[in-house]
Amino acid sequence: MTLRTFLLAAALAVIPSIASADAVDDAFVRGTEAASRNDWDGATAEFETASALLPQRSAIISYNLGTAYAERGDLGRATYHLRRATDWRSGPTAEVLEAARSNLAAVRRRAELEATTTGSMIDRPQTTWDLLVDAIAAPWVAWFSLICGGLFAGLLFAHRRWLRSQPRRAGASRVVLIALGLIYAIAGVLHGWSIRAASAQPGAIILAASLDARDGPGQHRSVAFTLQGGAEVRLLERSPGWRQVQLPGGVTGWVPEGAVAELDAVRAPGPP
Amino acid sequence: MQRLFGVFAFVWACLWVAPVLAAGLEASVAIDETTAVVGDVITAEFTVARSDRGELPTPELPASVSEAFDVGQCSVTQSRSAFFGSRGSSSRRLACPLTAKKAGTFSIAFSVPDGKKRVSSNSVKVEVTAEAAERGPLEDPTVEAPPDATEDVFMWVSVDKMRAYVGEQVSFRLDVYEARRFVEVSLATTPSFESFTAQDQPLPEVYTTTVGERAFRVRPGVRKALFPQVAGKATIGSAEMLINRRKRRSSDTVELEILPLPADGQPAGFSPSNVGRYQVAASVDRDEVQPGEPFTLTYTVKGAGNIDVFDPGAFAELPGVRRYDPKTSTKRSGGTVVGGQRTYAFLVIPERPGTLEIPAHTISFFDPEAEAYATAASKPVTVVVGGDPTAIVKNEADEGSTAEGTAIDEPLAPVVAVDAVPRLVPRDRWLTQERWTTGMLAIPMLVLAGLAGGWAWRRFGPDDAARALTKARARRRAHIEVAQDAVETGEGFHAAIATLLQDVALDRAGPGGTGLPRPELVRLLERKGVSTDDRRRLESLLERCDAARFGAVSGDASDRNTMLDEALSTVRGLAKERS
Repeated sequence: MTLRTFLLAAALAVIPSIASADAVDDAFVRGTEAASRNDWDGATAEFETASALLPQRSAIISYNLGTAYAERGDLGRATYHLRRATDWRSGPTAEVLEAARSNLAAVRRRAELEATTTGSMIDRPQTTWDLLVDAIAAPWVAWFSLICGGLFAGLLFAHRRWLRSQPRRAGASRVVLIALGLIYAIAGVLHGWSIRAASAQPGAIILAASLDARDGPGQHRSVAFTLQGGAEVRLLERSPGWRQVQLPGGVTGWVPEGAVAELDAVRAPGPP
Repeated sequence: MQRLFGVFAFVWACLWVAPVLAAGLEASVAIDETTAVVGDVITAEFTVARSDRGELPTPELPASVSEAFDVGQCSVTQSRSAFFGSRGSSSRRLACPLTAKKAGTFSIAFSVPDGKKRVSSNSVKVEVTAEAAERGPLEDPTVEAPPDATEDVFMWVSVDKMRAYVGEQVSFRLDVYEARRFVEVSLATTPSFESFTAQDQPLPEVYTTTVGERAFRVRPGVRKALFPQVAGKATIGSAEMLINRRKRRSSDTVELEILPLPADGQPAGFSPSNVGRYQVAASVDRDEVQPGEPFTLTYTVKGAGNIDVFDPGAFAELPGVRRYDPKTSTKRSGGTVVGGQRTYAFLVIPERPGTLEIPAHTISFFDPEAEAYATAASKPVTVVVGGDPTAIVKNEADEGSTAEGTAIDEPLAPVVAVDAVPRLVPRDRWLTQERWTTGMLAIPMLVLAGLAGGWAWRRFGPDDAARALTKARARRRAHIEVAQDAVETGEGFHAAIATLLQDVALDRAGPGGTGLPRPELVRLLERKGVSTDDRRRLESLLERCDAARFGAVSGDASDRNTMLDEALSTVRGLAKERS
């Protein structure tokens, strides 16, 4: 009786996940079939279903979803999903990563053209400084600074003992020690600063094709400027139903909460 | 001193006597302005004063006042003055704002009861003139400054021309002239410009001038550039100003003759907004591009006139390109003549290689000074579109048309087709932000703790002698352990005992014992105070060890045990003597 109950409970626990997995794959296959027929509305609907059913991130679903939105001309959502496809947490393969970057560049060019023709604002292209800041926020910098700090602390004590036996090599060991200490301090401060900035002002993408940014939270506030869909912004402050966004140039405005999506969010926003 | 006291007594007496002499009730009227225009506000003060101890009545407004004036909110104030115990005087004052409501000369006086009699005040005459009839249009509104002044504060309006074409600029100015200082003047209503579109123009600084041999300060009130919208008579309405919040004065109206634009010579499709003098130029940001590469074609219209409403006309269509709606921007020039430049920036995407000829763009306008229509044209612009001349870029269906809002159809990488979506097990980084922060902060803490520990060890830990002693003890323990282990076999036993004894003896002898032969070492031990028994036992043990090591007389295990006990006893003896 006990064994029978256990088997029943195990079956009940496993079957829903299997069913869910099948539903994800089925929706994904239906999406690719719709894409092959150039039915991009159908494809986005199926990929959105697959994305909603899958509890974790998937680079391949994000890539297909972003590409389908790009084919539909929805540059904001295309940018958002393609950016998520390139995120390491989505587990992109080399092929998916390359294709996502290629499509992202194409979508970006379209968005810039749209912004030029409509007069709306878009974030400036990434500069060397932006790439440097991104590199500083990378995990390897965290490891590097931590290891350098550990080596610095360890060698600091070893150095004192070693010097007694090797007084002639004091200069070289001191240089190594100073270098490790500097790397620890500089890399640590820069990495700490970058991750703090990223967590305090998370990056987000404008989803709407064209979005009026107002000078305060509320439809009654005057329009300060117009944002292009696909523009990357930073989220500054939150008000019920409204988010304050900032373009890399420092221009700020308030937009409706649903029209902007945070890149690091666990769940992607649903279809429009 | 006596003289000073006398003066003081005299003054005090005067203060007492004076009210007695002037004893009784007094009533008086004071008006701040004795001339006014219907609608002006004047202030009347009705005061009763008393220097004796009688009752002080409250002044009342005479009924005749309300026939000629509208009475505002009145206020009553009371005051009393006394000096060094003198009786002093008291007064009560009624202040009322009076708005003149009809013309005429009015006497204002009042009386108050004083016992059985009435005391009358003085009488003040106020002359109220009729309100000026609605001011008609100026005969010559082009006169910038008034020839004469009849009032201390007045407004003066002028225009730069009395006759203008529809759309031609007319400059309007309104100035406030003040001969008195400390006058508060504000424009209650601004002039109306119903038949015009008006643009504000910068106001100059306040300046002084002479009008009819009187110095006036001139405050520029309004500066407008007016553009008549319809032909015929056009009137600029009067403004009204408020002087010291009491008096209202209106300005003159101005009547202009607006001429229609002549029909003779008017170009086809001419826009009546194009009045002035203009030029046009065309430019591109790049003259060599690739097919599909966008460039900007900019037309710039500049000149004098209402540039905001300028109509450039239809721009020529360009075959083989896509052109988007232009971004327009206007930059006005400063100064009294309205003008500036207006740009029309087109984003153009050539779709095929070759030479793109952008034809001249012609604008037409009416020049009001020449009273004739004129045209201006830009120069043609050539753009070389590189690439394979036989190649045709996308959107052939749009050839020759001006696309509206479609994006560049750049091919996208296809979607990925798989049968099963790879499942990714969510795995967080081991080095989370918290762990990294903790580790980074722990490193300096560890360094500081280590440095502090080292300092404490140096400060409170053992000195060199203690460390050497500990080291020697450890060495001896090692020798003893070796000897104990070798008791049974005898292998290395005597060597360990000899080394142990030698070590103890050298330690006891001090630095001078190092390198000495055994007899010399024993003599040194003697000088160091080692007892004879210990010295003999030491010599005996060392000789037995030598004999065992080099003479192969090792004995059995019990002998070695005995020898070990003897050696340990000797070691303890030497160590004890030293301590």
